[in-house]
Amino acid sequence: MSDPIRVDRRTTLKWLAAGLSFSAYHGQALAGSAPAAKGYGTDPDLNHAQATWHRVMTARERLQTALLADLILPGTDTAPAPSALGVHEFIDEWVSAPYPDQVRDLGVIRAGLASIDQEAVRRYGHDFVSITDADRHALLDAIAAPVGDKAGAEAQAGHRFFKTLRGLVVGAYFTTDVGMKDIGYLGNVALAAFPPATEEMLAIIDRECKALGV
Amino acid sequence: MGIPVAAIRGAVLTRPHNGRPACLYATACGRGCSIAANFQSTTVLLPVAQATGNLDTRTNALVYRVDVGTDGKARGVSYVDRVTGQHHSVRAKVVVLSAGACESARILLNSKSAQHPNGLANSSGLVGKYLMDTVGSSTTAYFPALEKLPGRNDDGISMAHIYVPWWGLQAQARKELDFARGYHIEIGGGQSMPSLNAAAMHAKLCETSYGPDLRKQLRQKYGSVVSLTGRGEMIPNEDSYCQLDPKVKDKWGNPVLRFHWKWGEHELKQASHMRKTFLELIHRLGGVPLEGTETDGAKAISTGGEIIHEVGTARMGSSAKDSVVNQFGQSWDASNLFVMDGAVMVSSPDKNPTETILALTWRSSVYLAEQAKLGAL
Repeated sequence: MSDPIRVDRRTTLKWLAAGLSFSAYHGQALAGSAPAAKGYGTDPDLNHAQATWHRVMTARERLQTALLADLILPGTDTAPAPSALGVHEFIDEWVSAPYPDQVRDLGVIRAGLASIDQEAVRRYGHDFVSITDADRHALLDAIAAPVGDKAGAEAQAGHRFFKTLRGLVVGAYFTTDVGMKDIGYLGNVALAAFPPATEEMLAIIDRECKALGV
Repeated sequence: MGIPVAAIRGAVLTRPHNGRPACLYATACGRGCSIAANFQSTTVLLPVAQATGNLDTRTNALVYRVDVGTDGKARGVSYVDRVTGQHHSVRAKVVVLSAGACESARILLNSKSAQHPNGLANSSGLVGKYLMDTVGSSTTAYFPALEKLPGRNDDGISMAHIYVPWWGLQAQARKELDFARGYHIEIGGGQSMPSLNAAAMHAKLCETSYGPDLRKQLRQKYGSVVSLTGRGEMIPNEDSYCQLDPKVKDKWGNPVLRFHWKWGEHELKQASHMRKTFLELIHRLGGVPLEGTETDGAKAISTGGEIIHEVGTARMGSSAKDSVVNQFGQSWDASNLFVMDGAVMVSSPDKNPTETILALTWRSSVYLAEQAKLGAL
């Protein structure tokens, strides 16, 4: 891959807003963390929403992110790879936003991308974008395995980068229409009546409860 | 564990009613129901009021003061148009504040006059005091047994499907619990619409860290995570209140509120009881707790204001000395001033406060109409 897909900002911002509103809905401290509005006491104009930040990832970081995303959740015969859905574009929008969680993730992602590039050069003499898929797998394996509390700071940081990136990749992927279908979400369809649990489901619940002794 | 479970009651129509259609079991209720199958004052109450021809609505009007006549009674309100920045005053025979508990208190405190030097309706000094929120604590867990279920639409009415009402009254009567008052549990999860956080959380459950198997395992685990959410009663206390900030003003120059907050012992113990109950429930059902495992009440409890059920601040009562308004929301200090929102509540049960606010407002409105007819206001 040389030139990953570009997605317009209207789309990535909407995608981002959906991710953020989930956090807000569950009270995870979004409130109060937004950048100060001009003058205390008025609401943003949501009918004419505008991004108040610029996207910060370099073209190289976006390409690295796209490659890593496709390794984390490869496409199948029936489902496209993350890069085909623009997941790397979502991640760029995410780490560019000025809220505390996003600023934190920017630090983790940017350092991780730089580190994996350096490691590629050290091991294979070329940067991450230029090495083979097999070599990229080897680099990913090195940070994917869980690390213990006694591991060094570098190993801790590597695994933290992996977990942060994986969370964003699967989060972005499965909040697209394509991803929702792929994971098996069957809801959000208009129904005249909501169907009760089937006999099959009730039998499974009964069986599982018996197995648990409840 | 002796915990009862009931089908949840939602203010959602399952059959057409008064020109409103039945729910179509799609789209998220929390983002507003454009067909009005779900109750909202904007789509269910206001259109009916507008149809009478007796209602004028002025939008973008931020009321910051109730104006007072020389007789000490309410004369109208002053507001700033948040679009133009222009200030306006409107006259009224009766003023009803329904701005929400904190904002109603802010307007009253900001309505200082020679007759009401501490703010309007505040001769008792109680405006802003005894602010309450709901006690909150939740635990999220993974239940392997749920992986056995086939794919299904779990949306329903876009909220919890089942509900646990407070079951501890008898235990409290037997003095087996170390806290007063109770809580309910809301249960969420299943194969709901994927969200960023939920997808990331599911990935942590997978044995495979990445690659083709990650996708397979995510599909398998999808719908096996359930959250147990406790919502409990807070006992009002003297340390939880709001007052006008002496320094910070909004962009139109009006003082904002500053808040003081302290959970009492009962709330902290209640939050601890919630967590311990959730963990035992999860254990008995073969689940694995993922988030919300701390059982120390101070660490388990929500931040004051987080559950956004703020009530209190203009409590009702039977005398001008120990309350702000009477049982009809009528100010003791200015008989043509009413408060009709969560501000008047002197206690806050574990249930969401909206229906109590609606019921009290209905009662107050009937009283207001009767008094107006008698010429008593």
